[in-house]
Amino acid sequence: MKRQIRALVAVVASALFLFPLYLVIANALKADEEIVNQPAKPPLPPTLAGLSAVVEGGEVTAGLRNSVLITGSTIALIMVVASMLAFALHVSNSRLGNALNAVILFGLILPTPVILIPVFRVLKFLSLQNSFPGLVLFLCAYYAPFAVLVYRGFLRSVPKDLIEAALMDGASYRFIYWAVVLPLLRPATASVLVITGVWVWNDFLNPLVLLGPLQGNTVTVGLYRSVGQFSINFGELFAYMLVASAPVLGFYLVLQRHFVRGLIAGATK
Amino acid sequence: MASVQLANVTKEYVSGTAAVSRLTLDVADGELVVLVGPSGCGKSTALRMIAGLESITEGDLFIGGERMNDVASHERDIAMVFQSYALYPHLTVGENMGFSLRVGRVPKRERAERVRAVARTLGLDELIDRKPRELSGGQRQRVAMGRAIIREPQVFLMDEPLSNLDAKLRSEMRAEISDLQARLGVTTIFVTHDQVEAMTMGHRVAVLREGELQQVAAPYELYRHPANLFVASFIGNPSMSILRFAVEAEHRRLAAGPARLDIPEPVLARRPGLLGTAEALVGLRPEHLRLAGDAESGNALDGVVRGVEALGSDTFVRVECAGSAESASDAAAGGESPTPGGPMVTVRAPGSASARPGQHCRVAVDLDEAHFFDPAGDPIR
Repeated sequence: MKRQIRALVAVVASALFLFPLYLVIANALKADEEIVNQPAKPPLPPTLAGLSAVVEGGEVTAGLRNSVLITGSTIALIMVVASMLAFALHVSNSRLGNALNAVILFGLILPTPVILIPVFRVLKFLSLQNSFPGLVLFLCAYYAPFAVLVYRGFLRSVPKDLIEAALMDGASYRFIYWAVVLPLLRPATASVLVITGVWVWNDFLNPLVLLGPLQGNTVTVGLYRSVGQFSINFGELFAYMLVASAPVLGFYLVLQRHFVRGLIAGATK
Repeated sequence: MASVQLANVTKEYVSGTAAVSRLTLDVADGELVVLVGPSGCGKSTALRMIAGLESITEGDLFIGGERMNDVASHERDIAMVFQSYALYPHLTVGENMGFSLRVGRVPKRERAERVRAVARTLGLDELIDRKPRELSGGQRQRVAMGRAIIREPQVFLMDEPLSNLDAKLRSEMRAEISDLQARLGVTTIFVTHDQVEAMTMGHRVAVLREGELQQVAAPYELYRHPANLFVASFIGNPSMSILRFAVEAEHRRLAAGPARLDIPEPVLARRPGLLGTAEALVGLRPEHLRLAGDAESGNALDGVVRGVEALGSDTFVRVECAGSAESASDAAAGGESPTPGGPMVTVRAPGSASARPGQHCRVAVDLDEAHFFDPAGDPIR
């Protein structure tokens, strides 16, 4: 009985999460009027009209290119910077290190809207406003504290002996980082890549404000701008959503196994 | 190879806790010295100070005659085998063993040759491409040894390297490490809490307690002539039984409750101080006690059998002695509360002995072989 209740809860919870995905897929393959009248109906027969219109329009392709560029650069930078920082904090064990750690963690509680205007001013001072590097640097700084937290948690499960053994063998900390620590951090890296990747991909406000309209849209900003003032083509809107979310879903499915391992690592000795 | 000297070495943490206090120890070139003691006695901290993984608060450390206090660990020419083996899980056996050579930028070809040679010595040549997770505990232990050997260091440090192995493998590896150490002739400091390892492997054994060196001596010397009550009760398995007696100088005997033991003349000749003390702690090894017949005369204690451990070759019989004599074993071992009930002694009997729990018995005591300590735990001379 207990098992059956658990299974029922699992099914209901899964349905709650999968239903929006179903709506996007189903409505992307339906005609506009059908979506308005029966949004939950399966796409029978399916039509690719919405998808073709979106792809042929070129907006989504440009948005995808921009989002891939911004997300790819940001998570690559976060991976290197955050793992190095976490390792440095892990081995330093000094008061300064602990204080620095507290400052970094403070970054986790700052909501973007609060800091957006100062950030814009800083970027303007550096002549990086309305540019991809400016946005990437900000996103890296904004999401790095979370990555440091994940890496530090994982590093606690890496035996101290491994680092000490390498030190006794004459390895420098830089060598230990590349040859010993980074390969062991693979599951944590997968978690960091998936989580920050999804956050950056889905980010709407920062690209809207910091990138500006001149540099082109990311998928999220493009989606927002595709909604007209007087009319909405729901078929194209859902097709846009499907194309915009497909890369993230694929990315998650590829790294899923490592992602789960990364999240649970450090929970047990 | 090189000698190692610790001169009044102290490790004190910021909190003021002293993990090691004024440790002085000379390890000769090519010698295998075992640091032994209960958990938290400072043996691993001492080893880590020699390794350069812990700073030395006070005192001097010399390796090969050179002061090493401020020398980085990799410049001390030492190799360490960790309790966890510290094998890199993402590297193969060969890559693990050759890691220090890779760090030292030894050419790839030479590195491969040296790895193969060491792997052959340790019987690991078939496993060179395997990852640590694909190895048994014993094989992992050997890889850890290989990683230390390949560096050809002046000193080996081993931090409880056998503690993760099962009893049979541990006994095999004990012999292997001793043999390897003898063949290579490398000065070795071996840390363990297992006194069997200490007694069987060490050329000399250093016993530590609460950061202080209690005694350093050859294993047999340590067993026969413990410097104090702690060493006496720590060394030996089963451990020495320690009983508290009043000394009746006028009758030249020991008394506890109804028990009376006459002190033999040779004992008094060796320990004239015995008659000058009111109370003595008497240490009795299991082999110096014997289950005696009821009619047998001589020094004996009456008691009740409380436990029997039949090992095949020997049977160890735990006997609760009658009377009010208090067992001092727990106090000697650093325990807080004494054993409930009467004082317990462990008697070594032949394998064929047929003692049963609850049975009354007499235990013959060979006071010639007993150890005598004053209430402070110092030997009575």
